[in-house]
Amino acid sequence: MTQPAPLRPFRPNPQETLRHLRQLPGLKQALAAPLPAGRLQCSLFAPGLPLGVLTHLSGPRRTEAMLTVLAEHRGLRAAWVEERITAYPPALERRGVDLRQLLFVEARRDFFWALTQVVRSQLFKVVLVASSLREEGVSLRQLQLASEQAGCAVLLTGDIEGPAWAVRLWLATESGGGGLSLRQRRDPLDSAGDDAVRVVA
Amino acid sequence: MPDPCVACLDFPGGLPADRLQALAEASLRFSSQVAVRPGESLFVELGRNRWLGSIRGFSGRLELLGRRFAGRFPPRMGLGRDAAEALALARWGRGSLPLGSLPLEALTAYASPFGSDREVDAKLAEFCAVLKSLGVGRLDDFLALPPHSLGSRFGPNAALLAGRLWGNFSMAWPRFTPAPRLEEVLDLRNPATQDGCSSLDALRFHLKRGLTLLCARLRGRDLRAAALVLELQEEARGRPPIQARRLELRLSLPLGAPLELLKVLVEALEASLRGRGLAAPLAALRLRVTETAPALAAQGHFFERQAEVVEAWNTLVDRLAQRLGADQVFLVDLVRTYLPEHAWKKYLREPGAPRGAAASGISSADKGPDGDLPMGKGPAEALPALGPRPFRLLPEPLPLRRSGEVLGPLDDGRHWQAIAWDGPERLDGEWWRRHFSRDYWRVATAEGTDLWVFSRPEAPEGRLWLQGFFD
Repeated sequence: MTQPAPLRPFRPNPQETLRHLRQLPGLKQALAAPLPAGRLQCSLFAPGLPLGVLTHLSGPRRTEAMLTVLAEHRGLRAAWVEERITAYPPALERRGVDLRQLLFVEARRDFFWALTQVVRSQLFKVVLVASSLREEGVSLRQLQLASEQAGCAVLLTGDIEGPAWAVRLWLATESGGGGLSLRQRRDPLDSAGDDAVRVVA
Repeated sequence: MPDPCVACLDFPGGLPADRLQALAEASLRFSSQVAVRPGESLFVELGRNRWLGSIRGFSGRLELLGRRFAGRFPPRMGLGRDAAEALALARWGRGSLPLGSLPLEALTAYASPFGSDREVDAKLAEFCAVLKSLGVGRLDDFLALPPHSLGSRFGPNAALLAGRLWGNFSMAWPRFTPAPRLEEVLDLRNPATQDGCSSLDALRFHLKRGLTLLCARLRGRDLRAAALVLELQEEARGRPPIQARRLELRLSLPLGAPLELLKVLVEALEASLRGRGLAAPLAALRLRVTETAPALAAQGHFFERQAEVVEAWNTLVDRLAQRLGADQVFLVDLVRTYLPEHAWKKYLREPGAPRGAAASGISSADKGPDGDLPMGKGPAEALPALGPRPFRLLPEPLPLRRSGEVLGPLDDGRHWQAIAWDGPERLDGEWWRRHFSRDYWRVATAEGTDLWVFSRPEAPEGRLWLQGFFD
């Protein structure tokens, strides 16, 4: 009489899960759905920055790119959320940012909670996130839903350590001849055979 | 000599303002004429109530009441024809000395009985020193001086003091009026079963009711809440009475809407109960507004949402500040200084408020040193043209070593290969405070990050400090 195979604890494999997710019908269509809240004109990125979604910026001078968006929309209320504030306000003002419209939040240990509250308040059209995100994919999805409801552009410039499928747009900086522009990157979900979703800016 | 009609309770160790206010309020049972000398004494005018009982009987009851509010030192009682005399006898008479034998310092009471004034005290000390040098040491001696020559010999104030001592000039009585209490007390027990409230959901419901009532009263006065106190009374259940649990909520920006206040209060309550739950169901709650600020427009506007935006902004700031800390949510203003790390400061303000105006209940944490002026229009207009400034500044400059073109390593092992140096920009100044002298360089690196580093003239060769990143 053969012994039954011992039961092994269920350990979800993120790579397997992503492979399955990719095959779900309608995923691509869902990702390509129209933007929920329009776009914000931006000289660095001709199509404009989408409102109501999470956008990731990578590459050198990405902070400058974020600030360009604020400088081009001086009347817009915005928030800068970071674990420990490293923004240097005199440089921001010189870049053309209206400091009266920019709320700084130094969130430390409650970083993700504070970020979610800021987005959910529906007070800001742009939220700049200058620290790394180490959250579950579900949390990021909640943040994305909050941004959709608020019609707010959430610009992430730090690393995303964990599933990043809630990020709708991936942008990278390009600088040449002193100028700066943004180009769309490939979605890490689409990268051939690479399911590691850690995005290192 | 007329009968005394004013009682004074003087507290030798002082009395906090809130306790003195409470005592004054309690003293209104004796007379409607009550006044306070802030932080020090209480006056009650008893003369008009003599038909209710003897003045000695009243003063005894007042003294007993005062002992209940006093701290370590019991209050001293004085009875006089007016407030100044009562204070002089209470403070310098020790309950038994006659007025004439009081020291000259007792003139302080006649100079300013309803509040201490440094300028008056200084002048009086000078005056007393002159009198003592002439051998005048007590009030009797002072009164023995010829009254018609006081003005010409010692100035008009001497004549005025003598007049007050004689009782010729009565002083205006700054009547104490209790501040209106913005308070709601709710019984949380079920009327049918008399069971207390035992869940946070139910408590949230009661809080909402209490805040709605409180905010209606605030709105009627055109006010918003800037600080609140919540007291939760647990059921005794046969045990000795338990002291009510108290939660103080100081808002960074004032709020006037009950639902917004509820959000902030519930979060603060949850945080307070997290480590230390309730021992028994709650029997009652008391909500009290301890500080107020002027309200926004009394009536909503059909086509503008400014008032709603302000309320939402204040709620967000208050909730974040409650959880993160009061100085971790802020706006920024620039400061007129060359020292980079001091070139800005934190402040908080409601949207739409004029620049430079601080709203009530705002906590302000200066980043810059005291005395620096906000610039208002940006550094380019206030200071001569400055070199490039990084978008990211480290909280503290980090020491960095230069070996050839390699910069670093830092404590975390990071290092950079420099490929171009732009500078130096000499920043030097503030010799009157804490002199600094630095040469700043913008360093392009092979890693793609531009660094902002500085050297100090007195530092050894190759010693640099990393202060920021051009990111």
